Amino acid sequence: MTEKQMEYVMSGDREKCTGCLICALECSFLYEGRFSPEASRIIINKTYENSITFTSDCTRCGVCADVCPFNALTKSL
Amino acid sequence: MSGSKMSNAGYAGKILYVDLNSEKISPEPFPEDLRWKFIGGVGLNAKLAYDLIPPDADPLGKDNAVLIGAGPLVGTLAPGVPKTEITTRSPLTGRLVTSSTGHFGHALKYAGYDGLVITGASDSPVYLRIFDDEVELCDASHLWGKDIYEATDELYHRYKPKICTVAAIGPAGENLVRLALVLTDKLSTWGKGGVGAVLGAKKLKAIVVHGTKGIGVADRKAFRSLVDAAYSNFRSDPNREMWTTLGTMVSWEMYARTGVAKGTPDHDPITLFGPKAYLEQVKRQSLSCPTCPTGCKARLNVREGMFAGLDTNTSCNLGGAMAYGTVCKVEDYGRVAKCHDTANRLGLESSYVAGMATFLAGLYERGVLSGRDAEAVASGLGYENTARLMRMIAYREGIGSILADGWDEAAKELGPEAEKYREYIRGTGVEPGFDPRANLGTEALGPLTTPKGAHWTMALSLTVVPGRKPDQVARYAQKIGAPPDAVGRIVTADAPGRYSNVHSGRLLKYVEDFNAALYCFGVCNRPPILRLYGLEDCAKLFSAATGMDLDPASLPEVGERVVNSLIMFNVREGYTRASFKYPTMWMAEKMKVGDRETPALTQEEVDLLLDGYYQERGWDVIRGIPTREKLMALGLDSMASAL
Repeated sequence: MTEKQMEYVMSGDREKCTGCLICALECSFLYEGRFSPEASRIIINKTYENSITFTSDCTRCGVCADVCPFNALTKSL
Repeated sequence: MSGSKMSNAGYAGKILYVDLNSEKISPEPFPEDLRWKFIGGVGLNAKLAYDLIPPDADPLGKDNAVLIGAGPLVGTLAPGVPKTEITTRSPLTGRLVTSSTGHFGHALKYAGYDGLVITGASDSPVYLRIFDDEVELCDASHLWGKDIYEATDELYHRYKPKICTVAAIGPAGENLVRLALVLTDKLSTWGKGGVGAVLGAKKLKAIVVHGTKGIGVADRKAFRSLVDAAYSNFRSDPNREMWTTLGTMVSWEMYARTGVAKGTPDHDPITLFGPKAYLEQVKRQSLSCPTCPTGCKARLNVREGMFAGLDTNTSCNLGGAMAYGTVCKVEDYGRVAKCHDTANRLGLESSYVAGMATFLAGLYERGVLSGRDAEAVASGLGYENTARLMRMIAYREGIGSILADGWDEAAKELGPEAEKYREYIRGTGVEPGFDPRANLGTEALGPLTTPKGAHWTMALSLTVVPGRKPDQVARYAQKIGAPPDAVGRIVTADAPGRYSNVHSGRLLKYVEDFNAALYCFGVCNRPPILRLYGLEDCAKLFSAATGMDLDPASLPEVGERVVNSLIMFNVREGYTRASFKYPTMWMAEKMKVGDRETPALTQEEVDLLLDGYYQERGWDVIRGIPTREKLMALGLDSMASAL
């Protein structure tokens, strides 16, 4: 099983989240081939102080946690 | 040059025209020839501003236009490329102003637009809603009068669960205060030149954007590879963690050493407002612009004192701490945070508040204000007086009604004594940034040449640190596109001016062109990001994103074209090099920097540097303006006919 096919338990720390949206853009680029927070499976909502939610389409691949520059996301088995 | 994709590859493909007179809304294609010549962002704005804003138009009248441009890399994963430019005629200077924010362009791009052009004026308060192809002007009467945080939150709430980006003005903009800014997503600023008042005059309270289209790229694999390399380069920067932790406060000590963060024995800003105090007393968490891995902005939370519990945002804590802590002598960090919060809500630009406070304090010392209500405000400043000053300006109360129109108008009103003591260049308050007596690098000289006046961002280079070695400067000059013969003129022991072995004037030409080119893409100029992007990096990312094969060697000329276009806006109305001078006190007084004294400037020193700058530009040196030949060589024929 490749790492990409693994399913992780995902969580986010809004105190560490800076709102950079790199996670959302990596997700949409990977799965939809374009940069679009609207099409991403991780939603960062600045109107609620960078709340972090995962949509029902999220496959829990953990790529967002790999790319977060601020260690705001964790993936665990 | 080969290949091009017209839409949704780097470029969204359209410019949105909104006329507030007729309420006509027209998306138009972004022409391919303009993409090659100007790239986008400030480049596109420069071209459109010249074409659409008539000479001598009243900045607060219907004929002034507002251009907003987001370059072809904005909204992609290119790290730290979010910057989006607003360009218009400034009510503070009468000339062009251009200013950039990190929080707006990504949303505009995702909605399908590379640029936004706003013309005319509404008779009643409106906000502009841009949700992909759905664009409308909405009644904003319920928002008019609200502060920026309140208005933004209402708009967020109105359109939830959509997550929108909001640019808004506050009471200062509504009251046509020429020191007013636009705040985007309650965090980043379109700060300079009174752009908030331009929107206020148009009765445009806010712009709300939501986009679902996203941005594609032409060559995903190549783009991915370039982005990965940029991130890898970013992670190798030993300073990046310090930038995340401290934001712009990393530069606090340097400003203190060069004497700008002046203090007094009883009010020492180095201790009161330095990095340690910042982290212990107010900083809560780091915030980023979209796509930026640095996180140099911040959410503040005041730990103790009369404003304990206050939450607010800062785009640049250094600016706020210097403006309120150092210049306005506010007593402690909690009160500094409160000042910043107040300025954000009212929609006032912090360095302008500081500049106006300095102006008032100088007048008060010289007895010019006696009998006027500004006496109470100007004497000693501190929190209470600063807060009162901001409200007076934002609401045009008492002497605020004069100050709200800027230094030129205030000096006229207050009399000949006031004229003598203005601390300003070209009508704007001096940035508490770079005093040329201490370090006459490009960023200290730039305020005399930059189109918008009295600002240094386009002039920012390695000379921000004094005493660079000649070979370092030579390498830098080559990197930014100076040809070999120019490098020889820049790095020389015979260089005039006080920056050793460097002709800051000649270097400034290449610095401005390089920075202008990068701004067209949307690259942030804070060091952790700026170091990632040379001309080749930008060209490669551009080519992979757009499918347009851009030669990096053509980029210095793009930058030069943009700078010439911006300056021609002013030249068309009579600008010459005689228009701009340093404040007379800098020419008359020595300055203490730490334990050493630097001599006053001389006009001869400044003129020699500027002569070199204009020669390097190929401009008319006597008048300090482009020649017809230069403009034609840059493909700016229509502008050449104005000369």
